[in-house]
Amino acid sequence: MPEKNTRPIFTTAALVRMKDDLRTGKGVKKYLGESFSVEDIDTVQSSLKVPMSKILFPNPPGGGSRDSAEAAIRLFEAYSALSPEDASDERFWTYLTHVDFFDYMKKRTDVSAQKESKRGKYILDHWFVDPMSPASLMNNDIARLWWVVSLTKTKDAKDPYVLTREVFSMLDYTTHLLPGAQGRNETIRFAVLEFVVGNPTLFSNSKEAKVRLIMRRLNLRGGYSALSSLDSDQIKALLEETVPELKKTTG
Amino acid sequence: MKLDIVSLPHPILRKDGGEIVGRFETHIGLVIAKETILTVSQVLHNEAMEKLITDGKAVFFVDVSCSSTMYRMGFELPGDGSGQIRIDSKYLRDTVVATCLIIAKQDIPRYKNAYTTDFFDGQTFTVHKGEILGYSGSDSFEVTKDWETPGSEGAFFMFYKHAGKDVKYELGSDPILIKLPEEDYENMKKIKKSEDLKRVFISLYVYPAMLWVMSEFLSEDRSATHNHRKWHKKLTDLMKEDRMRRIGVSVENIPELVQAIFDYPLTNSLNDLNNIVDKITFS
Repeated sequence: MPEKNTRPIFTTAALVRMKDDLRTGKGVKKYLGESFSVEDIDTVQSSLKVPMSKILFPNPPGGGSRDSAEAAIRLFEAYSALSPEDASDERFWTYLTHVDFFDYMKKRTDVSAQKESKRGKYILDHWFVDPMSPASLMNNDIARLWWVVSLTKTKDAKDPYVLTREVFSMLDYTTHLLPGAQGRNETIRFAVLEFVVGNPTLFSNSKEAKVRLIMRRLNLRGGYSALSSLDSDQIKALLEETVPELKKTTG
Repeated sequence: MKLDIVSLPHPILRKDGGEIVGRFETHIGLVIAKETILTVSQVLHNEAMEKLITDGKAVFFVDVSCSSTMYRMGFELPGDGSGQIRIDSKYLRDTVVATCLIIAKQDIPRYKNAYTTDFFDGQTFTVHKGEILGYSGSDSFEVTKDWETPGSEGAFFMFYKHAGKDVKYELGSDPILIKLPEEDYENMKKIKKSEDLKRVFISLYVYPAMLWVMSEFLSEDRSATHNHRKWHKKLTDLMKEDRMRRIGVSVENIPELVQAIFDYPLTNSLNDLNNIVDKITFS
Protein backbone atom coordinates (compact mmCIF):
# COMPACT_ATOMS: atom_id res chain seq x y z
CA MET A 1 0.00 0.00 0.00
CA PRO A 2 1.57 3.34 -0.97
CA GLU A 3 2.36 5.66 1.89
CA LYS A 4 0.17 8.74 2.20
CA ASN A 5 1.38 11.72 0.17
CA THR A 6 3.63 9.67 -2.08
CA ARG A 7 3.48 8.83 -5.74
CA PRO A 8 5.21 6.21 -7.89
CA ILE A 9 8.32 6.84 -9.94
CA PHE A 10 10.51 4.35 -11.80
CA THR A 11 13.33 2.55 -9.99
CA THR A 12 16.85 3.08 -11.27
CA ALA A 13 17.02 -0.61 -12.20
CA ALA A 14 13.87 -0.29 -14.32
CA LEU A 15 15.34 2.69 -16.17
CA VAL A 16 18.57 0.84 -16.92
CA ARG A 17 16.60 -2.09 -18.35
CA MET A 18 14.24 0.12 -20.39
CA LYS A 19 17.14 2.06 -21.89
CA ASP A 20 19.04 -1.14 -22.71
CA ASP A 21 15.94 -2.50 -24.47
CA LEU A 22 15.63 0.65 -26.58
CA ARG A 23 19.32 0.66 -27.52
CA THR A 24 18.94 -2.89 -28.83
CA GLY A 25 15.64 -2.07 -30.56
CA LYS A 26 13.67 -4.52 -28.40
CA GLY A 27 11.55 -2.00 -26.52
CA VAL A 28 10.25 0.22 -29.32
CA LYS A 29 6.97 -1.66 -29.87
CA LYS A 30 5.69 -0.62 -26.41
CA TYR A 31 5.64 3.02 -27.53
CA LEU A 32 3.36 2.38 -30.48
CA GLY A 33 0.39 1.09 -28.44
CA GLU A 34 -2.42 2.94 -26.70
CA SER A 35 -0.82 2.83 -23.26
CA PHE A 36 2.43 1.85 -21.56
CA SER A 37 2.13 -0.95 -19.01
CA VAL A 38 4.24 -0.64 -15.87
CA GLU A 39 4.90 -3.42 -13.36
CA ASP A 40 4.75 -2.57 -9.66
CA ILE A 41 8.22 -4.02 -9.19
CA ASP A 42 9.57 -1.32 -11.51
CA THR A 43 8.34 1.51 -9.33
CA VAL A 44 9.16 2.96 -5.96
CA GLN A 45 7.07 5.34 -3.90
CA SER A 46 8.44 8.86 -3.82
CA SER A 47 7.69 11.75 -1.52
CA LEU A 48 7.74 14.25 -4.40
CA LYS A 49 5.00 16.80 -3.85
CA VAL A 50 3.15 16.63 -7.15
CA PRO A 51 -0.47 15.81 -7.84
CA MET A 52 -1.47 12.41 -9.15
CA SER A 53 -4.48 13.80 -10.99
CA LYS A 54 -4.18 14.31 -14.74
CA ILE A 55 -3.36 17.74 -16.07
CA LEU A 56 -5.05 18.39 -19.38
CA PHE A 57 -3.03 20.26 -21.95
CA PRO A 58 -4.89 22.33 -24.51
CA ASN A 59 -4.36 20.92 -28.04
CA PRO A 60 -1.01 19.11 -27.74
CA PRO A 61 1.21 20.25 -30.62
CA GLY A 62 2.26 17.60 -33.11
CA GLY A 63 5.81 16.43 -33.64
CA GLY A 64 8.12 19.19 -34.82
CA SER A 65 5.89 22.01 -33.60
CA ARG A 66 6.87 24.41 -30.86
CA ASP A 67 5.72 23.76 -27.31
CA SER A 68 2.75 25.61 -25.99
CA ALA A 69 3.75 28.15 -23.35
CA GLU A 70 0.29 27.86 -21.84
CA ALA A 71 0.65 24.09 -21.41
CA ALA A 72 4.01 24.61 -19.75
CA ILE A 73 2.60 27.21 -17.36
CA ARG A 74 -0.30 24.91 -16.49
CA LEU A 75 2.10 22.04 -15.71
CA PHE A 76 4.43 24.25 -13.71
CA GLU A 77 1.66 25.71 -11.59
CA ALA A 78 0.37 22.22 -10.81
CA TYR A 79 3.90 21.05 -9.94
CA SER A 80 5.17 24.28 -8.41
CA ALA A 81 6.10 22.52 -5.13
CA LEU A 82 8.93 20.63 -6.88
CA SER A 83 12.43 21.67 -5.84
CA PRO A 84 15.23 21.88 -8.46
CA GLU A 85 16.84 18.85 -6.78
CA ASP A 86 13.70 16.76 -7.24
CA ALA A 87 13.04 18.15 -10.72
CA SER A 88 16.40 16.84 -11.91
CA ASP A 89 15.43 13.25 -11.05
CA GLU A 90 15.33 11.16 -14.27
CA ARG A 91 13.12 8.54 -12.62
CA PHE A 92 10.39 11.09 -12.01
CA TRP A 93 10.28 12.59 -15.49
CA THR A 94 10.52 9.22 -17.19
CA TYR A 95 7.55 8.00 -15.20
CA LEU A 96 5.58 11.09 -16.21
CA THR A 97 6.32 10.70 -19.91
CA HIS A 98 5.41 6.99 -19.83
CA VAL A 99 2.35 7.05 -17.60
CA ASP A 100 0.85 10.42 -16.59
CA PHE A 101 1.42 12.02 -20.00
CA PHE A 102 1.57 9.03 -22.35
CA ASP A 103 -1.20 10.36 -24.63
CA TYR A 104 0.46 13.77 -24.86
CA MET A 105 3.84 12.19 -25.59
CA LYS A 106 2.42 9.95 -28.30
CA LYS A 107 1.03 12.92 -30.18
CA ARG A 108 3.96 15.20 -29.41
CA THR A 109 6.74 12.84 -30.46
CA ASP A 110 5.00 10.55 -33.02
CA VAL A 111 7.46 7.67 -32.80
CA SER A 112 5.93 5.85 -35.75
CA ALA A 113 6.87 8.75 -38.05
CA GLN A 114 10.57 8.20 -37.30
CA LYS A 115 12.82 5.95 -39.39
CA GLU A 116 12.67 2.49 -37.82
CA SER A 117 16.42 2.30 -37.16
CA LYS A 118 16.35 5.64 -35.35
CA ARG A 119 13.25 5.10 -33.18
CA GLY A 120 15.13 3.77 -30.16
CA LYS A 121 17.43 6.78 -29.95
CA TYR A 122 14.57 9.16 -30.63
CA ILE A 123 12.59 7.73 -27.70
CA LEU A 124 15.65 7.89 -25.45
CA ASP A 125 16.13 11.57 -26.32
CA HIS A 126 12.53 12.67 -25.80
CA TRP A 127 11.01 10.27 -23.25
CA PHE A 128 13.98 9.83 -20.92
CA VAL A 129 16.54 12.04 -19.19
CA ASP A 130 20.25 11.31 -19.59
CA PRO A 131 21.90 11.95 -16.19
CA MET A 132 25.28 12.40 -17.92
CA SER A 133 23.89 15.36 -19.84
CA PRO A 134 21.91 17.89 -17.82
CA ALA A 135 20.91 19.57 -21.08
CA SER A 136 18.75 16.49 -21.66
CA LEU A 137 16.22 18.01 -19.23
CA MET A 138 15.56 20.34 -22.16
CA ASN A 139 15.17 17.41 -24.58
CA ASN A 140 12.65 15.48 -22.49
CA ASP A 141 9.29 16.78 -23.74
CA ILE A 142 7.67 17.04 -20.31
CA ALA A 143 10.68 18.05 -18.20
CA ARG A 144 11.37 20.88 -20.62
CA LEU A 145 7.95 22.42 -19.97
CA TRP A 146 8.51 22.56 -16.19
CA TRP A 147 12.13 23.67 -16.34
CA VAL A 148 11.60 26.50 -18.83
CA VAL A 149 8.92 28.02 -16.63
CA SER A 150 10.94 27.45 -13.46
CA LEU A 151 13.96 29.19 -14.98
CA THR A 152 12.09 32.12 -16.51
CA LYS A 153 9.25 32.98 -14.14
CA THR A 154 9.77 36.49 -12.73
CA LYS A 155 8.35 38.32 -9.75
CA ASP A 156 6.38 40.70 -11.99
CA ALA A 157 2.94 40.92 -10.42
CA LYS A 158 1.22 41.83 -13.73
CA ASP A 159 2.64 39.02 -15.83
CA PRO A 160 5.34 36.77 -14.40
CA TYR A 161 5.51 34.69 -17.59
CA VAL A 162 6.64 37.28 -20.16
CA LEU A 163 10.09 35.75 -20.41
CA THR A 164 8.60 32.23 -20.44
CA ARG A 165 6.61 33.07 -23.56
CA GLU A 166 9.73 34.55 -25.14
CA VAL A 167 11.62 31.28 -24.60
CA PHE A 168 8.84 29.24 -26.16
CA SER A 169 8.84 31.55 -29.21
CA MET A 170 12.16 30.14 -30.41
CA LEU A 171 13.92 26.76 -30.13
CA ASP A 172 17.37 28.31 -29.73
CA TYR A 173 16.77 29.34 -26.15
CA THR A 174 16.33 25.77 -24.95
CA THR A 175 19.43 24.58 -26.79
CA HIS A 176 21.85 27.49 -26.37
CA LEU A 177 20.79 29.71 -23.47
CA LEU A 178 19.07 27.74 -20.71
CA PRO A 179 21.26 24.63 -20.45
CA GLY A 180 24.53 26.55 -20.97
CA ALA A 181 26.96 27.82 -18.35
CA GLN A 182 25.84 31.43 -18.67
CA GLY A 183 22.13 30.63 -18.75
CA ARG A 184 22.43 28.76 -15.46
CA ASN A 185 22.82 32.07 -13.67
CA GLU A 186 19.48 33.81 -13.18
CA THR A 187 20.78 37.37 -13.56
CA ILE A 188 22.47 36.58 -16.87
CA ARG A 189 19.53 34.55 -18.15
CA PHE A 190 16.97 37.25 -17.35
CA ALA A 191 19.20 40.01 -18.73
CA VAL A 192 19.50 38.24 -22.09
CA LEU A 193 15.78 37.58 -22.37
CA GLU A 194 14.83 41.07 -21.21
CA PHE A 195 17.28 42.54 -23.73
CA VAL A 196 15.60 40.65 -26.57
CA VAL A 197 12.05 41.41 -25.36
CA GLY A 198 12.97 45.07 -24.80
CA ASN A 199 14.29 45.53 -28.34
CA PRO A 200 11.48 44.22 -30.56
CA THR A 201 12.49 46.25 -33.62
CA LEU A 202 16.10 45.08 -33.46
CA PHE A 203 15.03 41.44 -33.20
CA SER A 204 12.13 41.66 -35.66
CA ASN A 205 14.25 39.95 -38.32
CA SER A 206 17.01 37.30 -38.28
CA LYS A 207 16.17 36.71 -34.63
CA GLU A 208 17.77 33.28 -34.36
CA ALA A 209 21.07 34.47 -35.81
CA LYS A 210 21.07 37.55 -33.57
CA VAL A 211 20.33 35.61 -30.38
CA ARG A 212 23.12 33.16 -31.26
CA LEU A 213 25.45 36.08 -31.80
CA ILE A 214 24.80 37.66 -28.41
CA MET A 215 25.22 34.25 -26.74
CA ARG A 216 28.57 33.77 -28.50
CA ARG A 217 29.74 37.18 -27.34
CA LEU A 218 28.61 36.47 -23.81
CA ASN A 219 30.33 33.08 -23.76
CA LEU A 220 33.53 34.66 -25.05
CA ARG A 221 33.39 37.28 -22.32
CA GLY A 222 32.61 34.60 -19.76
CA GLY A 223 35.94 32.94 -20.54
CA TYR A 224 37.86 35.73 -18.79
CA SER A 225 35.23 37.46 -16.68
CA ALA A 226 33.13 36.27 -13.77
CA LEU A 227 29.82 37.22 -15.37
CA SER A 228 28.03 35.92 -12.28
CA SER A 229 29.52 38.90 -10.40
CA LEU A 230 27.73 41.45 -12.61
CA ASP A 231 24.25 42.81 -12.09
CA SER A 232 21.50 42.95 -14.70
CA ASP A 233 22.34 46.47 -15.93
CA GLN A 234 25.99 45.55 -16.35
CA ILE A 235 25.14 42.43 -18.35
CA LYS A 236 22.77 44.45 -20.54
CA ALA A 237 25.52 47.03 -21.07
CA LEU A 238 27.69 44.22 -22.47
CA LEU A 239 24.83 43.19 -24.74
CA GLU A 240 24.36 46.80 -25.89
CA GLU A 241 27.92 46.69 -27.21
CA THR A 242 26.78 44.09 -29.75
CA VAL A 243 24.04 46.32 -31.23
CA PRO A 244 26.10 47.65 -34.19
CA GLU A 245 26.95 44.08 -35.14
CA LEU A 246 23.37 42.92 -34.60
CA LYS A 247 22.09 45.58 -36.99
CA LYS A 248 24.28 44.12 -39.74
CA THR A 249 23.31 40.51 -39.01
CA THR A 250 21.17 38.58 -41.44
CA GLY A 251 20.43 34.87 -41.78
CA MET B 1 32.92 28.18 -15.06
CA LYS B 2 35.53 27.35 -17.62
CA LEU B 3 38.52 29.66 -17.85
CA ASP B 4 39.49 30.37 -21.44
CA ILE B 5 43.27 30.73 -21.14
CA VAL B 6 43.64 31.78 -24.78
CA SER B 7 41.17 34.67 -24.42
CA LEU B 8 42.70 36.17 -21.27
CA PRO B 9 43.40 39.84 -22.02
CA HIS B 10 46.09 40.06 -19.30
CA PRO B 11 48.16 37.69 -17.14
CA ILE B 12 46.42 36.23 -14.10
CA LEU B 13 47.80 35.01 -10.78
CA ARG B 14 47.47 31.25 -10.33
CA LYS B 15 48.14 28.64 -7.66
CA ASP B 16 51.82 28.45 -8.52
CA GLY B 17 51.87 32.06 -9.76
CA GLY B 18 52.11 31.29 -13.44
CA GLU B 19 53.11 34.45 -15.33
CA ILE B 20 52.83 36.53 -12.16
CA VAL B 21 55.20 36.33 -9.19
CA GLY B 22 53.40 35.05 -6.14
CA ARG B 23 50.84 32.49 -5.08
CA PHE B 24 47.08 32.19 -4.80
CA GLU B 25 45.48 29.18 -3.17
CA THR B 26 41.99 28.53 -1.86
CA HIS B 27 41.04 25.89 0.67
CA ILE B 28 37.44 24.75 0.90
CA GLY B 29 36.10 22.75 3.80
CA LEU B 30 32.71 21.09 3.64
CA VAL B 31 30.41 21.38 6.62
CA ILE B 32 27.01 19.74 6.41
CA ALA B 33 24.15 21.14 8.43
CA LYS B 34 20.66 22.05 7.23
CA GLU B 35 22.31 23.69 4.27
CA THR B 36 25.43 22.80 2.34
CA ILE B 37 28.12 25.01 3.84
CA LEU B 38 31.44 25.70 2.15
CA THR B 39 34.03 27.10 4.55
CA VAL B 40 36.58 29.03 2.51
CA SER B 41 40.04 30.31 3.37
CA GLN B 42 42.64 31.89 1.09
CA VAL B 43 46.41 32.04 0.78
CA LEU B 44 47.57 35.04 -1.22
CA HIS B 45 51.16 36.16 -1.75
CA ASN B 46 51.26 39.05 -4.21
CA GLU B 47 51.72 42.64 -3.15
CA ALA B 48 49.86 44.28 -6.03
CA MET B 49 46.84 42.00 -5.64
CA GLU B 50 46.78 42.45 -1.86
CA LYS B 51 46.74 46.23 -2.33
CA LEU B 52 43.91 46.07 -4.86
CA ILE B 53 41.86 44.04 -2.39
CA THR B 54 42.66 46.34 0.54
CA ASP B 55 41.71 49.36 -1.60
CA GLY B 56 38.39 47.77 -2.51
CA LYS B 57 39.24 47.48 -6.22
CA ALA B 58 39.39 43.69 -6.27
CA VAL B 59 37.75 40.95 -4.23
CA PHE B 60 37.88 37.21 -3.60
CA PHE B 61 35.03 35.48 -5.42
CA VAL B 62 33.64 31.94 -5.62
CA ASP B 63 31.43 30.83 -8.50
CA VAL B 64 29.33 27.78 -7.52
CA SER B 65 27.67 25.80 -10.26
CA CYS B 66 25.56 22.65 -10.41
CA SER B 67 24.67 21.62 -13.96
CA SER B 68 22.20 18.94 -12.86
CA THR B 69 19.92 21.51 -11.22
CA MET B 70 20.80 24.39 -13.59
CA TYR B 71 22.12 26.35 -10.63
CA ARG B 72 24.87 28.97 -10.70
CA MET B 73 25.61 31.72 -8.21
CA GLY B 74 28.57 33.94 -7.46
CA PHE B 75 29.67 34.80 -3.93
CA GLU B 76 31.96 37.68 -2.97
CA LEU B 77 34.17 37.05 0.05
CA PRO B 78 35.33 40.44 1.33
CA GLY B 79 38.45 41.19 3.34
CA ASP B 80 40.89 38.26 3.53
CA GLY B 81 38.51 36.06 1.55
CA SER B 82 37.67 33.71 4.36
CA GLY B 83 34.06 33.01 5.09
CA GLN B 84 31.16 30.64 4.70
CA ILE B 85 28.97 30.07 1.67
CA ARG B 86 25.60 28.59 2.51
CA ILE B 87 23.41 27.00 -0.14
CA ASP B 88 20.01 25.42 0.39
CA SER B 89 20.49 21.75 -0.47
CA LYS B 90 17.38 21.75 -2.69
CA TYR B 91 19.46 23.56 -5.34
CA LEU B 92 22.16 20.89 -5.52
CA ARG B 93 22.42 17.40 -6.96
CA ASP B 94 25.35 15.27 -8.23
CA THR B 95 28.45 17.29 -9.21
CA VAL B 96 28.83 20.76 -7.71
CA VAL B 97 31.79 22.85 -8.86
CA ALA B 98 33.25 25.78 -6.93
CA THR B 99 35.62 28.00 -8.95
CA CYS B 100 37.83 30.28 -6.86
CA LEU B 101 38.88 33.66 -8.21
CA ILE B 102 40.06 37.15 -7.53
CA ILE B 103 38.06 39.58 -9.69
CA ALA B 104 38.03 43.30 -10.38
CA LYS B 105 35.32 45.09 -8.40
CA GLN B 106 35.59 48.12 -10.63
CA ASP B 107 37.38 49.15 -13.80
CA ILE B 108 41.13 49.29 -13.14
CA PRO B 109 43.08 51.38 -15.66
CA ARG B 110 46.85 50.83 -15.98
CA TYR B 111 46.92 47.55 -13.99
CA LYS B 112 50.36 45.99 -13.66
CA ASN B 113 52.00 43.38 -11.51
CA ALA B 114 55.35 41.64 -10.97
CA TYR B 115 55.78 39.11 -13.74
CA THR B 116 57.86 35.96 -14.04
CA THR B 117 58.73 36.83 -17.62
CA ASP B 118 60.14 40.07 -19.06
CA PHE B 119 57.64 39.80 -21.90
CA PHE B 120 55.23 42.06 -19.99
CA ASP B 121 57.86 44.57 -18.82
CA GLY B 122 56.57 48.15 -19.02
CA GLN B 123 53.07 47.01 -20.05
CA THR B 124 49.91 48.04 -18.28
CA PHE B 125 46.43 46.68 -18.85
CA THR B 126 42.93 48.07 -18.63
CA VAL B 127 40.93 45.69 -16.52
CA HIS B 128 37.15 45.92 -16.55
CA LYS B 129 34.79 45.20 -13.68
CA GLY B 130 34.21 41.47 -13.27
CA GLU B 131 37.39 40.43 -15.12
CA ILE B 132 39.49 37.71 -13.55
CA LEU B 133 42.75 38.75 -11.90
CA GLY B 134 43.51 35.52 -10.06
CA TYR B 135 42.43 31.88 -10.41
CA SER B 136 43.28 29.30 -7.74
CA GLY B 137 41.38 26.46 -9.38
CA SER B 138 38.08 24.60 -9.23
CA ASP B 139 37.03 22.25 -6.47
CA SER B 140 34.14 19.86 -6.81
CA PHE B 141 32.05 17.63 -4.62
CA GLU B 142 29.21 15.20 -5.22
CA VAL B 143 25.76 15.42 -3.75
CA THR B 144 24.32 11.98 -4.28
CA LYS B 145 20.62 11.34 -4.32
CA ASP B 146 20.27 7.87 -5.76
CA TRP B 147 17.33 6.80 -3.66
CA GLU B 148 14.73 8.14 -1.36
CA THR B 149 12.11 6.83 0.98
CA PRO B 150 8.69 8.26 1.75
CA GLY B 151 8.88 11.03 4.28
CA SER B 152 12.56 11.73 3.76
CA GLU B 153 14.23 14.42 1.74
CA GLY B 154 17.75 15.15 0.61
CA ALA B 155 20.80 13.05 -0.16
CA PHE B 156 21.92 10.15 2.01
CA PHE B 157 25.63 10.34 1.20
CA MET B 158 27.91 13.07 -0.04
CA PHE B 159 31.30 12.41 -1.58
CA TYR B 160 34.35 14.48 -0.84
CA LYS B 161 38.05 14.18 -1.45
CA HIS B 162 40.88 14.33 1.05
CA ALA B 163 44.66 14.13 1.06
CA GLY B 164 44.81 10.74 2.82
CA LYS B 165 45.15 7.29 1.24
CA ASP B 166 42.15 5.63 2.87
CA VAL B 167 38.38 5.96 2.58
CA LYS B 168 36.76 7.62 5.56
CA TYR B 169 33.11 7.76 6.59
CA GLU B 170 31.79 10.56 8.78
CA LEU B 171 28.50 9.75 10.45
CA GLY B 172 28.45 12.99 12.34
CA SER B 173 26.98 14.98 9.49
CA ASP B 174 23.94 15.09 7.26
CA PRO B 175 24.39 13.67 4.68
CA ILE B 176 27.03 11.14 5.71
CA LEU B 177 30.39 12.10 4.22
CA ILE B 178 32.34 9.53 2.23
CA LYS B 179 35.86 10.93 1.92
CA LEU B 180 37.98 9.47 -0.84
CA PRO B 181 41.65 9.89 -1.75
CA GLU B 182 41.95 12.44 -4.55
CA GLU B 183 42.63 10.01 -7.40
CA ASP B 184 39.79 7.72 -6.33
CA TYR B 185 37.49 10.72 -6.13
CA GLU B 186 38.19 11.67 -9.74
CA ASN B 187 37.68 8.04 -10.86
CA MET B 188 34.49 7.80 -8.83
CA LYS B 189 33.04 10.85 -10.61
CA LYS B 190 33.46 9.15 -13.99
CA ILE B 191 32.16 5.77 -12.87
CA LYS B 192 29.15 7.31 -11.16
CA LYS B 193 27.90 8.92 -14.34
CA SER B 194 28.14 5.81 -16.48
CA GLU B 195 24.84 3.97 -16.85
CA ASP B 196 26.71 0.71 -17.50
CA LEU B 197 28.57 1.03 -14.21
CA LYS B 198 25.89 2.49 -11.96
CA ARG B 199 25.44 -0.66 -9.90
CA VAL B 200 29.19 -1.22 -9.82
CA PHE B 201 29.50 2.28 -8.39
CA ILE B 202 26.94 1.51 -5.69
CA SER B 203 28.67 -1.78 -4.87
CA LEU B 204 32.13 -0.23 -4.63
CA TYR B 205 31.42 3.05 -2.89
CA VAL B 206 27.98 3.15 -1.35
CA TYR B 207 27.35 -0.44 -0.23
CA PRO B 208 30.42 -0.71 2.09
CA ALA B 209 29.57 2.66 3.61
CA MET B 210 26.02 1.58 4.23
CA LEU B 211 27.10 -1.68 5.90
CA TRP B 212 28.92 0.34 8.53
CA VAL B 213 26.07 2.86 8.83
CA MET B 214 23.61 0.04 9.45
CA SER B 215 25.86 -1.56 12.07
CA GLU B 216 25.92 1.77 13.92
CA PHE B 217 22.19 2.19 13.46
CA LEU B 218 21.42 -1.24 14.90
CA SER B 219 23.98 -1.04 17.70
CA GLU B 220 22.25 -0.89 21.09
CA ASP B 221 25.12 1.17 22.53
CA ARG B 222 25.78 3.62 19.76
CA SER B 223 22.54 4.15 17.84
CA ALA B 224 21.14 6.72 20.29
CA THR B 225 24.11 9.06 19.74
CA HIS B 226 23.01 9.47 16.14
CA ASN B 227 19.25 9.56 16.50
CA HIS B 228 19.01 13.30 15.84
CA ARG B 229 20.59 12.82 12.40
CA LYS B 230 18.46 12.81 9.25
CA TRP B 231 20.11 9.61 8.05
CA HIS B 232 19.06 7.92 11.29
CA LYS B 233 15.46 9.06 10.84
CA LYS B 234 15.51 7.90 7.22
CA LEU B 235 16.72 4.46 8.22
CA THR B 236 14.08 4.31 10.95
CA ASP B 237 11.37 4.93 8.32
CA LEU B 238 12.95 2.51 5.88
CA MET B 239 13.13 -0.36 8.38
CA LYS B 240 9.38 -0.10 8.85
CA GLU B 241 8.74 -1.10 5.25
CA ASP B 242 7.26 -4.57 4.67
CA ARG B 243 10.17 -5.75 2.52
CA MET B 244 12.64 -4.96 5.32
CA ARG B 245 10.50 -6.60 7.97
CA ARG B 246 10.27 -9.72 5.82
CA ILE B 247 14.09 -9.93 5.80
CA GLY B 248 14.22 -9.23 9.54
CA VAL B 249 15.69 -6.03 10.98
CA SER B 250 18.63 -7.39 12.99
CA VAL B 251 22.42 -7.25 13.02
CA GLU B 252 22.82 -10.68 11.43
CA ASN B 253 20.72 -9.58 8.43
CA ILE B 254 22.64 -6.34 7.74
CA PRO B 255 24.16 -7.53 4.42
CA GLU B 256 20.76 -8.51 3.01
CA LEU B 257 19.04 -5.38 4.36
CA VAL B 258 21.61 -3.13 2.69
CA GLN B 259 21.43 -5.06 -0.57
CA ALA B 260 17.64 -4.67 -0.54
CA ILE B 261 17.95 -0.91 0.05
CA PHE B 262 19.95 -0.57 -3.16
CA ASP B 263 18.03 -3.14 -5.20
CA TYR B 264 20.69 -5.87 -5.01
CA PRO B 265 23.64 -4.09 -6.63
CA LEU B 266 26.22 -6.83 -5.98
CA THR B 267 24.64 -9.56 -8.11
CA ASN B 268 23.59 -7.05 -10.76
CA SER B 269 27.10 -5.56 -10.86
CA LEU B 270 28.54 -8.88 -11.95
CA ASN B 271 26.00 -8.91 -14.82
CA ASP B 272 27.00 -5.38 -15.74
CA LEU B 273 30.72 -6.18 -15.69
CA ASN B 274 30.05 -9.32 -17.70
CA ASN B 275 28.22 -7.27 -20.33
CA ILE B 276 31.12 -4.85 -20.54
CA VAL B 277 33.61 -7.73 -20.95
CA ASP B 278 31.41 -9.19 -23.70
CA LYS B 279 31.32 -5.83 -25.49
CA ILE B 280 35.11 -5.58 -25.36
CA THR B 281 35.61 -9.21 -26.41
CA PHE B 282 33.28 -9.04 -29.37
CA SER B 283 34.06 -5.53 -30.60
